[in-house]
Amino acid sequence: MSEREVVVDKMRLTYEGLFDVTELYKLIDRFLKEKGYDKRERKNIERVTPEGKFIEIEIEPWKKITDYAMNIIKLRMIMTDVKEVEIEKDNVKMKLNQGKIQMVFDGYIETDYENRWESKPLFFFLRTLFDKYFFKPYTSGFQKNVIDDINHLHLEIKSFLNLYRYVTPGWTAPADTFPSP
Amino acid sequence: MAKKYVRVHSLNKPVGRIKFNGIFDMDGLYRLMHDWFVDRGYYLEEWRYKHKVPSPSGAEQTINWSAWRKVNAYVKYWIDIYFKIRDMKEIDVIKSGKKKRLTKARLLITFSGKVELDYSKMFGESRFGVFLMDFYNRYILKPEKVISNYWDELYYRIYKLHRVVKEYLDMESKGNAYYDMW
Repeated sequence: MSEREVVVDKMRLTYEGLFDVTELYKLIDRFLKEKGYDKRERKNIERVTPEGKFIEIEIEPWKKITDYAMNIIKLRMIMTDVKEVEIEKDNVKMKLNQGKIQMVFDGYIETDYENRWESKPLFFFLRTLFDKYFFKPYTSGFQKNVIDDINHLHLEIKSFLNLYRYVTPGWTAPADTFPSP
Repeated sequence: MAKKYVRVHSLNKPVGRIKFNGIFDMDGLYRLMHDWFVDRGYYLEEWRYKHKVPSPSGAEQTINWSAWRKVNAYVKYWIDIYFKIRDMKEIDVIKSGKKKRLTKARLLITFSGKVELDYSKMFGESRFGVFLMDFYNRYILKPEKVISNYWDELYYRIYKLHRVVKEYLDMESKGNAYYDMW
């Protein structure tokens, strides 16, 4: 089995107010396409409740970096009490949604996704050895890519939802060394 | 244990899954998906149509479709659709002054696919033939070079159908940025 290393663990974004679900979905889809990720939509649930719509979308796009490692972003969106409202902006009537959103971002690096190094115990041992000691500079670079992509997506969504107040990235890579006292 | 030679490359997980709970036009959806396959030259088989006697919460239906299409003399695409409809009730709705019969139900649609190689059994069933086929697939077509292209094409074509269904159900998450892939 391929190995998944958690790079971003449950980074969250919560919002309540006006937004456009379809545009938000399109923004995420477009962003991932532009970044070169392949589409994978694992779950798409829509339910009508008396309080409004319940929508759950789980996407897990992936991007192969080499024939050994790939980036995976997992984004789970839960929208509750989504209602359609009509607002007037600059004398133009628009249909928007009102509700709550909860988003959870996870980032992974999946190595040996073709299971080439698991056919024999010796290969498995060698893989672990190489992963730990030889490929570390490479894989840490891959980690940075995943973190950057997730931060970028997070900022795009925040900006879409008008939450763009804090420009610092939401998730930073753990430092390899401790700062000197 | 004898080595297993694979003629079918499945997309290991369902490509997409839609769950919808609400009011929709089941007949229209059925026709739309059927036409999507027919228009694109797929041969469609409905190999299961199960209808359970309605309970107080409604009827239950299970439908399985398998659609295939030859890509060339060696490769064939398969798309499998699984419908599960629960708590199904027919209701009359007045829309734009017209009375329309719609369905209120919980709907699950699963989309999956597979790429079949050597569907016409050109290499035959003998051990030598199967060995040749395996050699051809493994070292000439190469899974990561040629076969993966077919796999990608099928994958994104299934997402096109996925988008069509989402739009028909007027789901909030409609749209597909990957529409220009294949």
